[in-house]
This record gives sequence, C-alpha cells and structure tokens, in this order.
Amino acid sequence: MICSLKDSKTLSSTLTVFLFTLSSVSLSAQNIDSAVRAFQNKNYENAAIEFFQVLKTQPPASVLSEAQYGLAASFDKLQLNMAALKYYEDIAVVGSDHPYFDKAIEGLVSIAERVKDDFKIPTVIDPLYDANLSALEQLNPGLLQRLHFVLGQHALNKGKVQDALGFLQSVREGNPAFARSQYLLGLIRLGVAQNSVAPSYPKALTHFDAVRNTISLDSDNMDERYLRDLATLGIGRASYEQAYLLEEGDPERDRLLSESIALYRSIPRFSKAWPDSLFEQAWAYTVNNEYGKALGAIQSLEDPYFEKEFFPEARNLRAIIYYYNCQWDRVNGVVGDTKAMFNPLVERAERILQKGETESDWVSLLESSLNASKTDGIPQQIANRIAKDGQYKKMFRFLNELKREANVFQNNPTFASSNIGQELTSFALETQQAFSTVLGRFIQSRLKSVTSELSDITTRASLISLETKTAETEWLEQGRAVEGQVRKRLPRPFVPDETYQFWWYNGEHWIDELGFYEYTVKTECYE
Amino acid sequence: MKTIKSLHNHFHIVVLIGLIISSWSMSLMGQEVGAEEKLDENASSGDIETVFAVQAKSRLHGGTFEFSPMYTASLNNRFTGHHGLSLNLLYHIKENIALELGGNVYMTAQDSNTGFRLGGHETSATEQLRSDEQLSPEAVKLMMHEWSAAANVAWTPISAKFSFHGVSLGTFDLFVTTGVGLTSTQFRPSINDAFIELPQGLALQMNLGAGIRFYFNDWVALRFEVRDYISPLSFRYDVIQASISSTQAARLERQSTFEVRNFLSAQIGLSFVIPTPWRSK
Repeated sequence: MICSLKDSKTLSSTLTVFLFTLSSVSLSAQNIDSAVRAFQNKNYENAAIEFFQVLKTQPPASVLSEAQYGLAASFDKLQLNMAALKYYEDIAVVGSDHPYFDKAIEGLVSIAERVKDDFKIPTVIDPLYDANLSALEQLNPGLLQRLHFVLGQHALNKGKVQDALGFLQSVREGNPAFARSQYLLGLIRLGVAQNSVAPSYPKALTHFDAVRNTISLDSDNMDERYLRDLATLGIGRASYEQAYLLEEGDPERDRLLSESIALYRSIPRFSKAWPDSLFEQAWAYTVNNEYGKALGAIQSLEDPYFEKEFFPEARNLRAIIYYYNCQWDRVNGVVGDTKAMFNPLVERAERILQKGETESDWVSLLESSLNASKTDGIPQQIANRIAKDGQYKKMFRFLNELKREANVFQNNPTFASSNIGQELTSFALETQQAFSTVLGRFIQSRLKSVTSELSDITTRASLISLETKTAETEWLEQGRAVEGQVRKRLPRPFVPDETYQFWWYNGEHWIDELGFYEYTVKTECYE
Repeated sequence: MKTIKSLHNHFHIVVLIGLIISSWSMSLMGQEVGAEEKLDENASSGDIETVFAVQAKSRLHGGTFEFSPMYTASLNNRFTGHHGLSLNLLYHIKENIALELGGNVYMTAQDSNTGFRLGGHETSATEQLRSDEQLSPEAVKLMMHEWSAAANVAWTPISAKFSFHGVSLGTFDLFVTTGVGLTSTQFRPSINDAFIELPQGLALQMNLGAGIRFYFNDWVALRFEVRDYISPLSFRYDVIQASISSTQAARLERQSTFEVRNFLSAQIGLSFVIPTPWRSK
C-alpha cells in the first residue's frame, strides 16, 4: 500500500513535470511564432523582446536555437552591434551542430566589418575554426573569403605571418575584402611585423598595385580612398628602400627615388594620408640631395594645420639637412630646440608612467589630456599621437559602441520597460568596464613606446650635436668661422610658367600653400 | 529730384563698397606689416631663411571667356551725371592678357516718373546755378552720353589671395585695361523747365581703367573697377542752329564750345567665368 502510494506520488510528480513541460513547450511555440511575426513585420524591437522572453522559458532545443538567432538578428537589424555580437557568439561557440551556425558566422563577419573590429570577433571565431572547418568550407565562397580576411588580419596582429598569408591569399578579386587583403599581403611582403625577413619588393608591389587597381581614384568611400593612398605610400616606401640600398650616382637609384617622390606627391593634399606622405617626401628629398624641398616638406608639417600630427623625427631631419650643408649654427639651434621641447615631455610622460594609473583610468586620462588646457596629464602632443593610432581608434570606436548601446537599452522606452533592457544594459556596462581595462593597457603600452621613441630622438639629437661640435672644432682649427654668418634672402625660385604662382613665406599661415613650400639652401661647406 | 537722390544713394553704396574693400585691403596690408616686422627680427639676427611657395594656380584663366554685368555710375558729376548698366565680354588669350568687348548703357528716370529713358541727367549743381545765379555752364559741358562701346585689352599683372579670420579663402587679381570705341552724345538741357533736345551725335572715346576681381569659387567673381572715358566733345552752334527753333535758340548760348572730357566712372558687378574645351589645364 505504502509502495503503491509512493508509486502514485511519483507518477503524480512525473505527470506534473510532463504537463508543465508540455505547457512550457506550447507557450514557447506560441511566443516564438509571435516573435517571428514581429520580426517579419520589421518590428525588430518587439521581436527582440519576444525572442528574449522565449529564451527565458527554457524552451526545447529547436525553439532555443531559433530564439537565439532571432534575437541576434533583431539586434543586428537595429544596428545594436554589441548585443547582436553577444547572441551570435552564443550560437557560434556551439559549433556547426547549431542549426544557425552559418548565419551566426555571417552576422559576426558583418559586424566585424561594420565596426572595424579586429580584436574581439576574431577571438570568437579563431578558436572554433579548425573544429568546424568542414562546415565553414561549405559557406558561400564570398562570405568565406570575408571571414578569411578577418582571421588573416587577426593572425597578422598576433605575428602569425604564415597563417595570415594563407587566409589573406584566399581572398579573390571581386570580393569586398580583396583590396584590404592585398594591402596586408603587401605589408607582409615588405617584412612588416617580422624579424630578420628580407622584403620581397616585386611581390609587395604586385599587391599594392592590386589595391590601387581595385579602388578607383575618385571612389566616394573615404575608407577605400585612404586604403588606396596607403597602398601608394607602400609602393613609394618600397622604391625608397630599394634606392637607399644603392650607391649614389647609380641611375637606378635616381630612378627609384624620383618614382618614390612622385608617388608621395600623388597623395591628395588634405587627405588622411597626406601628413605621412609629406614626412616620407622629406626623407626621400634628403636622400636625393634636394635639401630645399625636404625642408619645405618639414615646413608644411610644422604648420598649425598639422597641430594634431606629431612627427618628432622631422626635427632631427631638419638638423641633419643643415649639417649636410655645414650650417653649424642652424644645426645647434634646431638640436637645442629639440631637446628643450622633448626632454620635458619625456620627463612628464615618465612621471605619469611611474605614478601607475589604474588600467581603466588611462582612458579618461588620455581623453582629458587631448585638451590643451590640461597641464598635469599626458603631454598633448603624445596624447594626440596615441589618439591617432589606428589600433587605438578601432578600440575606442568599439568602446563608444558599447556606451551607445548601454544608452539605448537604458533609455529606449520599449527596452527600458522590459527585462531585456536591464540585462543588456548590465551586459554593455560590464563589457565596457572590462574593455576599458584592455584599452587602458593599450594606452599605457603606447605611452611607453612613444616616450621611448622621444627619448631616442633626443639621444639622436645629442649625437648630431656631438658630430657638429667635432666638425666645428675642425673648422676652427683651419681658421674658419663657425658662427656669426650673415645670411640674406636668396634669389627667388624658378617658376615653371604662368600657370604657377610664387609667394614668399613671411611666417604667415596660408593653408593653400601647404605642401608647396621650398627653401633655397646654399651650402656653406668648403670644397 | 527723387531720381537724383536715389542716384546719389547708389553712388554712396558704390563708395561704401569701395571703402570696405579698401579697409579690407588695409587689414591685409596690416598683416603684411606684421610679417615684415618678424622678418626684420630675423634680419637683425643676420640669419634669414629663404622660404617660398611655388604652387599651381587654383584656377587658370587662359582660354576662358568671362562675362561681366555691372552697375556703372559716373564719379565726376559736376554738371551732368550718369548711371546705368555695363556689359563686358572678355576672352583670356593668356593667363594675364584678355581681349574685351564692352559697352555701357546710361539711363535716367523721366521727370514724370513714368519710366527710364536713355542718357544722363543734369546735376543739382547745374539746376542751382540756373535758378539762383541765372547762369548756365558752357553748352559742351552739358552734353551727356546714352551709350558707349569699346574694344579693350586687359592685363592682369597681379594675382593675390585673401583669408578672412582664417576661415574663408579666395583669390583676387588686379587688372588694368585700355581701349578705344565710340560713344553717343546727347544734348538735352532743361532750361526754364523746358527741354531742348538736339539730334544725337557720335564721338570717339578712349578708356583707361583699373580694377579688381575677387574670386569666391572657380566660376564667379566680384568685380570692381574705375575707368576714365576720354572723349573729345564739341558743341557746334553753327551746325545746330538750322535745326532748332528761334525760341530754343534764344535759350542757348550762341557760340561753339569744345572740351576733352574725362568721364570717370566706377563699376561694380559680377564676373562669370565660362570655360572652353581648349582652356588651360
């Protein structure tokens, strides 16, 4: 009897669980249908809320999968990239057994492209690549190539050059990621991110040319235009490096230098790549013994227009040019200014590094340091340099996206009144906090490297100064004057024809003259 | 009188614009002076860097046409005054040389305020002279013009540029021009509130001018110029006496008078640059 009662209780419990499960399944099925209808009606906010509710009912696997994808796709449609990423990630980590694995990979790749993310999403996909290779190989070829670009870029960032080559070479012409892949391949062929690897210039040129042939000169897409300019700079650098290895007087050297200069000059004025092209021009002109033009390029870089650019090495280059022309007093002036300018920056940056900010505080410290009025932060020139770093920009954009989405989930009336709003606000804020730490670590690391670079520059300035002192001593021993030279304005320059205008530089800022400056340099060396 | 006052207002606008341009130029010159001071500092240290910019012109004129509609008003209005419309068509054969066909049409309001008629007007000084002093200027000085047309050559020796608080940027050029043409002569004095209108004549006219064009973009510029139209004018009583009535003759001085008139005018308007397929690239 007892036994019977016990059996009866067990049966009752089992029945209760069965009935509950049955009702739960039925409820889930109803809700998922409603969510799908909302999605199909493009009411993505309500669709997201309903898919989210389905997930919370612990539905059976088939409904769960559909709800996960529906939720991710709804956020994707709402351009809530971080939220979409979270749910696509949930699907992707399950692997190819998940019915929406392919769709999740496509979603992740699209988000990576949209937010230019090359650190978070690759780290989601990379670990599951090998285990799901056969499923991934079945993807649409266009999507697979886009995925390969994301992974190739990630591999290159990690220094896995062979992996990067494999991924990037699989991206075919016509694919949206082709030009970007070719650019990275060009960098790899130049030996970027590799130690003791000889550059392969012909291969690099082939890749850079492919970028230039793929992107039209008058493309409306600014990112594409920038990539094209970077490829042009890449070819210019390759020509310059090859020329530098040749003996002076070699016609091939002259040809390569001229080619390099022409490429640098072809970068559109006021474009994003223009400051770099001016700096590269300055070096190429110097090596080509065109000192006046080299100083002119440096003069442009020193204009207030480029106040947020930081090319500290340009000061040493100016000193070197004066040195080549035996203008010792000018060398001493530039070297003195360089030390006076950079030594305090190095000292201040070192003090901040020693102070040791909390990792997440570096982000706010950098932001406040970009404001010139802050005198106790990171020196503004260094802060600008870090803020212009491509990797920093990507990470900062990612952080801002998290902030934006936290704000949406907090303030959007539809989301704010539901559990999804609270949960995803917490998710965005927690991720933001965690990511601030990562970004802070990056800023700290960049501050160290820029400080070290500045320190090296002042050291090199000291070496130039030492060389100059030696030369001055030799001159004095030969009875030559080393200072007190009177230099008058030299004759006006050659003006090609009436389609050109000529202006003296009077110390004024004229934006239209940038890139056209030139000095007349008269050597003061004795034969 | 209303017309004349209105005319004077127009003239004041021209003068005002001229003053603005002058003050602007002066501020530019002020900048230059500042720069010179800086150069002087360098000069005192005995070390001057020779730095310059050689840049391709932002806009090229060679091979383009330029069409300029302008408002024109005479400046030396002693006994007569003129205002009207000036139209000029230029072809820039080189960057700094242009051939120009230009014409002016002078208009003045009818006394009845019913509309405009061609020609100039007598100044209030002339009217006052007649009413208060019972005097009249020499007849030749009352001759007016209905229109003038000339073929000119323009030379642009100076191109410059300007910025305004570092925000806007434009270029301007200074030009001089000269040419020859014809002008119509009109004799229509108002004596005792009655007009004496004699047949029109023609006179040769030479002009000399200088001006400035401010370019705001590649195809439109503000143009301001001053021109001196020089023409030999004559009032030949012996020629006209047969064609006037004795009443009219009684109101006119009975002697011929001559002068070489310097008709100074200011013109302001727009210049539209019309490119051609063969323009300078």
